[in-house]
Amino acid sequence: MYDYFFTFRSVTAATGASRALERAGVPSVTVRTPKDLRHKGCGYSIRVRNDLLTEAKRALQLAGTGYQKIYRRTDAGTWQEVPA
Amino acid sequence: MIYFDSAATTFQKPVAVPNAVLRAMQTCASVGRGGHAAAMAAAETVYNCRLMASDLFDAEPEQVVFTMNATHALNAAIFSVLSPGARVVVSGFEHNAVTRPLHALHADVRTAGEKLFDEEDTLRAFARAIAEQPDAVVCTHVSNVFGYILPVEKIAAMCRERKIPFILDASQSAGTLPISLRQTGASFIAMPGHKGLYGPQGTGILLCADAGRPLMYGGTGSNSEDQAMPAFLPDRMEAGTHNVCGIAGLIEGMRFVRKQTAEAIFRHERELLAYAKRELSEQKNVRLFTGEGQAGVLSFRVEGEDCEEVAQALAQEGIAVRAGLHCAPLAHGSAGTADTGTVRLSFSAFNTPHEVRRFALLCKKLFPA
Repeated sequence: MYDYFFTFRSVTAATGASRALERAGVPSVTVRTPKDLRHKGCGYSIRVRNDLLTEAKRALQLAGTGYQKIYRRTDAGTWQEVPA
Repeated sequence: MIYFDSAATTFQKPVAVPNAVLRAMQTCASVGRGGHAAAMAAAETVYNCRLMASDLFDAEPEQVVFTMNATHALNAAIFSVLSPGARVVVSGFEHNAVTRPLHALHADVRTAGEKLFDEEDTLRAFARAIAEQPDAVVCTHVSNVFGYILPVEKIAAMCRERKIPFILDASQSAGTLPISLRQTGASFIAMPGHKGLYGPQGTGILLCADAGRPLMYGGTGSNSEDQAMPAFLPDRMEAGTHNVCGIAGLIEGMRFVRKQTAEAIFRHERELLAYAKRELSEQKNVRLFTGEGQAGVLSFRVEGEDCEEVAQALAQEGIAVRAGLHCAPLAHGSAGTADTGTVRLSFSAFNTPHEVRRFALLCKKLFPA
């Protein structure tokens, strides 16, 4: 399941991050940021699989691609912030 | 047609350019305006272009801002750096894309370096002017009228030393001369997409060291609840829908430049320039404006002939050149040609020595000494 969301301030930042994940071999999907996770309005997020959170964080940090926050969707459908 | 007007727009483009424009029109919607396939295809396309430009010009992808043209980019840069009445130093070879925004700002403009093809004089003049600590320096890399390559790396170094914002107009150099946002330390570098980068008309790039002051305000697809423009690049400087189709074409134009290499294109244009100079210098009634440090641009006049009529006569024979003041009266003032203007040849990667030969033969026939 793609249940971790990395949020980004812009589509440019999100696209750059998605390329970094691709280079690192981490599958991801770029989506519009869900309403509940928005900071100041529209934005983009990258969803990654549950088992690839650590790899994704490492790849993004290595690439210097700054994300805003990381969230996890709980089984109950609510959002939980995950330490960046 | 023999097209020698590439300093205005390169007319012959790699075939991949129009193909990419058409493909984008069929597959791409708006960047940052949705998560559906067509919006994401647009986002990928525009990001690819940022990546290509950042690679060519030694910048970060987010520092690449898309504009309509170099004039738009220069306006954004000038209005970012300067306030009304600011003191500015410019070269003696600036285009109206620089001088008109400065005029609109009622800037106190000092011109430095008016001698054509005299790098030492240009540097001395800039050193004197920069010592007075102006608010900014704006300088063209290559004169669009005469092809004079200005020593912008050294001028940029003087600005860095004194922490003076430097704006580089790379309208005639992007795609043929090395340009690095990082190394010059420029605040902004402006360039068209439709000249030496072989992209479609309606494309331009502004490389930004930092976020500037927006020239336009509006939707960016980010921070929508905030009525202020986003503080971050590129969104801060890119309000409204992008020219996605043009940008798709620009990728292919830049891909062409990268494959050919800027150095090889420059060398090719210089060879054509040298050939044209040799051929035209045989005509005693032709005055050439030429010297050391010249890019693939050549201005000339035919004794006793009106420049516009010379260009018109050539156009009727299928040769495209540009005559008049080339939107650069300051440059003509510096060179002493403000009253007459010049006829300008400007080359691209697609021109050939055979075309130059045909042009020269025609000149001899149309304008005998």
